[in-house]
Amino acid sequence: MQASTPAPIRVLTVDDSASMRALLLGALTSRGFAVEQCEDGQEALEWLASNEVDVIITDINMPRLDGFGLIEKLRTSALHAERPILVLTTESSEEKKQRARNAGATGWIVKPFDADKLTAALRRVIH
Amino acid sequence: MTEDDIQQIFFVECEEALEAAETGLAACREGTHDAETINAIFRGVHSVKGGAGAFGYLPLQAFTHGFETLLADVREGKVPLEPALVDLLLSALDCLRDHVEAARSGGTPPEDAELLARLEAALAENGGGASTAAPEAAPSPAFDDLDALLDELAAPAPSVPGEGEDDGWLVHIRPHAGAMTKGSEPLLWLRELTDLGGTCEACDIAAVPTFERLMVEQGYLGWTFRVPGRVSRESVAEIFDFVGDEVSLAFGPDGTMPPPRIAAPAAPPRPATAAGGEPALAPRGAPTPLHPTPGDAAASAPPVAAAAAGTATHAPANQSVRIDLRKLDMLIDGVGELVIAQAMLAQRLTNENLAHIEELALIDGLVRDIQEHAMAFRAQPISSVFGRVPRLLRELGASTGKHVKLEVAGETTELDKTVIERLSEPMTHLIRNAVDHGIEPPEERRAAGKDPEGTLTLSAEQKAGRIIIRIADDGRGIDRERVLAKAISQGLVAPEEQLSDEDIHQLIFAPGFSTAAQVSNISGRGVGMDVVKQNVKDLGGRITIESAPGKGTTFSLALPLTLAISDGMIVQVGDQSLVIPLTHVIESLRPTPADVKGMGTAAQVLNARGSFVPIVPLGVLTGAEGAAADPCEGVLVLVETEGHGRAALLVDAITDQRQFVIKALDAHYRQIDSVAGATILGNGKVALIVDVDFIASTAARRAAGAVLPVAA
Repeated sequence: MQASTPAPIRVLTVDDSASMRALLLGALTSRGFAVEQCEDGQEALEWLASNEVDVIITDINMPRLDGFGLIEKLRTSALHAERPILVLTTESSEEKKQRARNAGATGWIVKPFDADKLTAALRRVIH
Repeated sequence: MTEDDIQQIFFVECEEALEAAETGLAACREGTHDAETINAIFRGVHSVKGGAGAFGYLPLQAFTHGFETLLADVREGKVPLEPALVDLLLSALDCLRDHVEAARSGGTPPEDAELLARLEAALAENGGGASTAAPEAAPSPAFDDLDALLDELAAPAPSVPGEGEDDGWLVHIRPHAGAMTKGSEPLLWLRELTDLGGTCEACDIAAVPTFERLMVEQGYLGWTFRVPGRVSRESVAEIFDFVGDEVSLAFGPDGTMPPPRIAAPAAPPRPATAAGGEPALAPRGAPTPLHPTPGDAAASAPPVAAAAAGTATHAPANQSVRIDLRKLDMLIDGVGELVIAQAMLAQRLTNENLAHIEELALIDGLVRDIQEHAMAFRAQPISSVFGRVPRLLRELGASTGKHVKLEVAGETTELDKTVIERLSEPMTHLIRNAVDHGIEPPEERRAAGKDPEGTLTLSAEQKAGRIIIRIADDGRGIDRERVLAKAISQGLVAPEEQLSDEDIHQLIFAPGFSTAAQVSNISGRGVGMDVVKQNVKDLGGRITIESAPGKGTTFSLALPLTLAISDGMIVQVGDQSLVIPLTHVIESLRPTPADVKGMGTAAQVLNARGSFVPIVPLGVLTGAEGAAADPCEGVLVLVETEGHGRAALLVDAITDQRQFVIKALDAHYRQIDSVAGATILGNGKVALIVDVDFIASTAARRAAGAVLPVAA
């Protein structure tokens, strides 16, 4: 896959929990990803309006703009319509997963996450 | 950042989440049941759960799961939010708080089985509970698309008996348009199949249109792969699990390639329609229009998704940065130094007759601004202390049978973080006290014509450079006669002494003071009122009491805005300047010979309005040359301490009053009795800060020693 590419893979993580952000930052940075972080969907949307990443990892339950809303809005934007978007959440109900699919999510990972598995998941969705 | 640091962040986050949930539930109790309030409660509990899982706090995680499940149904309107349920949720929140505390301190998690059962019962009563199955401590693979798959990939693929070992088996794959519009890349699936040992047998290109009719996001291709027999059908299916309906699969040699679902190219080619030169890929809304035969799920989806977008609120952003407290304190220390350096520069320029240059005024203004802003970094709203009070009142209500309404004002008032942290204990004690002793039992209140439910009012405001916090109850007020009688019987005051109301009120802060009725399982524990006063005093604050019989009692705490800078009186003693912390100073006076009494050879006392106060010549302590030895030639600064009474410090003159930054002396020199630290004055000289407590206690001991022979 792209593991051999010299430029690091850029990941945006969107999570309102500071500890989750810190965990993701630690796990992904140590595995060679370039990590950007936003605290909720709204911030992510604003940041993504003028920035690009290779893959987005988003939480669902967040203030202001939740993960579903973020994905829907990104899918209607020219820049991020085809961006791989992984949902990382404690939710695991089929109903929520269906909603995530309908919103346009690329994949779904349940918290608590295993760093190696998350890394593998990222690599398998990155174009 | 270490794991520990992250955990600390998690616990800070828990505090915030618990407070948010508490605020939300309090609002519910008052009858606010709107979606955002309930969502805020849910989010609070939810975020605790997320971290609990990540950090492996299993009991915490299990409890939050039960709690959250009920809240989810409340949020979706499946469970009505009745008062009894709000109470249950509040109890659950209290238990959650204990859980968090146990996780933080490594203590035993609280007993929660009964509460969990009640939560579940509340859920079951309302027909919910479908999703309560199991906490996600051990998530079932079916829920776990990528997780499960990746486990699968990591482990050697299980062999499937009965399948053709040599030939393997066939799978037909047909991705549809939806897969491509959601960021998936079919090529990656095919690679993954290859990684599993699969080989591509055929590619169906029958549906590929002519180039001008080709739409990039449509699924025109289908592939047939031969997969080795040792690979299970499930592990292949899981590659495509999350994609759901957007890819059609058919297994086995009998399976045939599913037909493509291609949008009728009735519409003109997209690039032509895109208005305003928008890129072709831009207008991409709900996937439905691309499906000529939408499935049930797809058909029902858009309204749900729209609702999700609708519930997202647009509260103003609370943008913040987390900074290590040590770094912040380093900055604030630095600013303190800057203030001093600036003062030194001003002094120097004044000496050179350059005091009026414009640049100096500019720097002066800037330094003052920076100082103010730096101080503000340490400031936190007092709501973090007030926010814990509702729980305290609930607990007190349960144990005393007194239900107390809470009224809060000025909770956004900010004060120093350290002050906030150390304020919680004395405030808790004062509130326990107010409920236990101040507020009467309901029957008594009814008989007195009062609302049977008592009211506790907390307020905070900034006034004259201090923060005033008031804790007021509308109870029976302090029984001054009883307090006085008790104080006399305990020997705290002489029977003939004339005391003002305020003096009598202050008696309840005397160490060891208690009236018989004061001992109860609530106020009797731990700290006494003397400790409360000491705590407040340690923060550089004062407590005053106002009380009206039958109307209630108000405790007012006056606290400094910050601990980093103190107010001090600069005094001259011989050739030295010393600083006396202003919190201790009561008054300063030039005594007449009649005010001073000799006592023994060296000791003198001041007759300060009828009470005798030992005089301490600071010049003797510092060994300063030329210091005044006769009190009548100098100035006496009357200081008061908490534990050791008063003393009159003899100095030559009072030269200034200013703010100062305390520097510990032991870091630069060594610890010295009578000296609390040092500071740098505007002229660049070091001045010692007088340890008033130490001096007063030494003077009190010496005076006691001197008094005894006189009394004999």
